[in-house]
Amino acid sequence: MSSAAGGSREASLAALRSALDRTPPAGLDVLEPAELARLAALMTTAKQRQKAQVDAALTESLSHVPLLLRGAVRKILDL
Amino acid sequence: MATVETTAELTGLSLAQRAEIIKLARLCRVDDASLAWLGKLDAPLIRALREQATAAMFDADRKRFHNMATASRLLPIPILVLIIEKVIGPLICARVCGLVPAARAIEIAEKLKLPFLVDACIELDPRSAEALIAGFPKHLIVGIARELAKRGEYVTMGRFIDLIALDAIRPVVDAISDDAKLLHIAFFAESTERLGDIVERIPPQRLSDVVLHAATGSSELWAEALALIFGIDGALQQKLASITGELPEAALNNIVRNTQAIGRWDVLLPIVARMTPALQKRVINLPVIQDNAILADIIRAVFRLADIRPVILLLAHLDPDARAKLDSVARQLGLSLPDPALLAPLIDGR
Repeated sequence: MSSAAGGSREASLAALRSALDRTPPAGLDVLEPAELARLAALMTTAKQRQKAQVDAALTESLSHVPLLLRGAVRKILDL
Repeated sequence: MATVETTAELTGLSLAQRAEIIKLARLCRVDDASLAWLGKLDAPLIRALREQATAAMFDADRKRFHNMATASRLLPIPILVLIIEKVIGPLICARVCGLVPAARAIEIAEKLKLPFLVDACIELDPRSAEALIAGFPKHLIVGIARELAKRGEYVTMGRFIDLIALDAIRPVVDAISDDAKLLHIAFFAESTERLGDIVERIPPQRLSDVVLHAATGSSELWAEALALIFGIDGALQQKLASITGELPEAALNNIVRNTQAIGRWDVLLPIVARMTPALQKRVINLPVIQDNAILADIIRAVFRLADIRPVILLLAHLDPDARAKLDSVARQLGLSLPDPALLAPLIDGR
């Protein structure tokens, strides 16, 4: 493996670790560097999409809360 | 809707890999075919990735929802139900309910409208759903199961069936009259132990109907049935193997064609080896099998098996002409099949 590929592999593993919030399971070394990068992107995107979906649902719920209370509720929900 | 029937790109992967890739795709909200490249990883590893991804995705918002769960305790249930249905919505409800004491969450669930409850079940964090679903009353479980099956939510059903109380399995099976849907659900069940629990509770006639339905259906449906039979242990596997061996010849012919189409002789042969000697003889001498391409794939599959001994013993039941043809195909492949008479004494318990 070239050092560039090794470097990108390390970067992908770091991205995957960040997306999963923990050390990924052992055995991913069978993946090519590009596949590892793809896996990291899949997990990162999925997590972001999930957060966006939850945020959207919470914001929608907030629209039913009286205007005066929205600031406080926003704070509670970390929106 | 997620079924193995939608995944032609996953052909060639093991049945367990297919199920895991479909589940991961569902979690990540991507098309399962787009993850076919993960077939390089074995099923337990894909599952481990899915479990880590589930934890990361659901734990990220835990703190926010904990505040909501705490606040919800202050409200009487009828008002809470109104707020949940009109304001909160199923997604947030699913996130919060796992943080509310199970008894109170069940009390709330009983008051929610069924379609809403089903929407929420689809979004549940599988880890926090355990105590909740195990405590649901039977009528609610049956209602949810019926609606999930109607919507084709088989991945959710596979998870759901893992968590329901044992005495709710039979009513759920009875509520789902479509045999193919039962197979789809079993295909996505999380634990093989639970698969056994399900099969044990299906009445004999229904079990025969399910196997016949799979045997006479598409190759994808047969793949799901194979996964089910392969996934269960001991006596139950033998029972399903026998039901399969006793099917009418037309159904067995269809099984042969479908097994060839999905390339899963490595799964079917050990199942045939679990049949009684009379059924083994019937199946392996089927005229439809005496085809050079099929025989070649069978031989290749035999040599891929971790333990070839039970399968080699099947050769003892082959008619002489069929054996001669098999040996001829093996020679063309540069292979030689062992003599079953030499292996028999080495098989434990035989």
